Amino acid sequence: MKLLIVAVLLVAGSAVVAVVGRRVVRRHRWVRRLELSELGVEAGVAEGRLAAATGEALMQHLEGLRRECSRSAGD
Amino acid sequence: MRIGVDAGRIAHGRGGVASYTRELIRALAAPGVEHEIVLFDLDGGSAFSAAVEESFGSLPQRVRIASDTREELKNLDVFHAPGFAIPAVVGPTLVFTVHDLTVLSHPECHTLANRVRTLASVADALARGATILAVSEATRREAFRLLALPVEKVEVLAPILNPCFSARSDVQADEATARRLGIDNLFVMAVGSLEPRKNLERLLDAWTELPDRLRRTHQLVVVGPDGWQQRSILRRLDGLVQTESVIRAERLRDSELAALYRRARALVFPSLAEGFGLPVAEAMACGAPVVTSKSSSLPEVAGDAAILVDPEDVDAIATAVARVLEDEGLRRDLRERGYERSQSFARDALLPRLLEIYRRAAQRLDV
Repeated sequence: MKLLIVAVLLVAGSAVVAVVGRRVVRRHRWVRRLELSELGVEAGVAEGRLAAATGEALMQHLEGLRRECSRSAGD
Repeated sequence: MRIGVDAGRIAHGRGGVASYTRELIRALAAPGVEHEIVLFDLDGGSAFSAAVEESFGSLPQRVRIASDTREELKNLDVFHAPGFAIPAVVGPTLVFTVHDLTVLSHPECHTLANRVRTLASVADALARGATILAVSEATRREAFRLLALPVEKVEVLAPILNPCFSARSDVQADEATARRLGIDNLFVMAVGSLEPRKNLERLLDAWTELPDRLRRTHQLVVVGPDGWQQRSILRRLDGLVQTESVIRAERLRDSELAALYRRARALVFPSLAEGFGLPVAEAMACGAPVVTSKSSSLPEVAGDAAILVDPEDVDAIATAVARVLEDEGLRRDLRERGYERSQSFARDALLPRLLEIYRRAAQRLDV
């Protein structure tokens, strides 16, 4: 009986770890995606493809969303 | 010109962006267009060729699927990204469609994944110096308000309507479609995926506020796939399907949807925010009177051909629906004006402008 309980707990525990792990990986992937876009925006402004004001607005939105993803990844 | 189009959404997506892409390709494949069209699937996937064949049947020889994505991207004059994917290689001039910016104006109406994907794509396109194509003036104004994007830097071009959205009907076939769905009475339509932004819950509240005589003589037909945060909407909808004359149709082909629009007493589309609002244009083209929101792009799409309501005011929605159902003269007037309005979303009206946008983008001329 004890063995059965331990087995059930182990299975449930690994399922929780898998779900949480997947979630953290996904959020880190989003953070990376947003970081790449931020780099692109910086380059776009530096190379004159993008107006400074638009670049600044985009950076604010991207940084805000990246912080939100980082926060929830660390939950 | 050799024009590349990311057509991946027709295989992997659904809803407004997939419809937009499908009609864009149909228009570019139409007789009279002489450009070479190369279709890409930037998301990758094995179902692409099958989806293209299912959507378009046989295409003219000048329209083909890219055989080698990387190589063919280098040999284009212009690449149109109608969805969210944009090519990694900096080769062709990019035209990028912004369908809406509700991920920024209404973040609470989107999943985090959707916000990341949409914002990153818009940022990438802008950083690449893409020609931005907004689907409405309202979306162009939002791009200025939220991204400080100068209005003169954004082209506005409405989505092209599928020609099957037309008032010309095969009465028997339309009737058979309605019967198959269990519609056996006069009816009102609601169209849109089940998600909070579409505001279906308030519409259901408004429906239950209608006078008994109207609910006895009319059905409410809710057309749309499952969406995000739909649990409470579904619960409410299921309850009404049991007790009221409410019918749900999850997925319909465009031809079936058109058949219902033609028979409907009205389309009610009280969405909280849209970049365009395709159901409004589709219903008008089919001669259905429209009740819609006075917010975002919807007044622009509807023009003077719909009744506009505050989407957060349940009483206002109910009053407008009752007015349309009880006033035959009003319905006739809305039908006529709506049909006229919808002609500006027809392929013939929009295609020349789309090709001109491509030409200017290919020549890197400012908009």
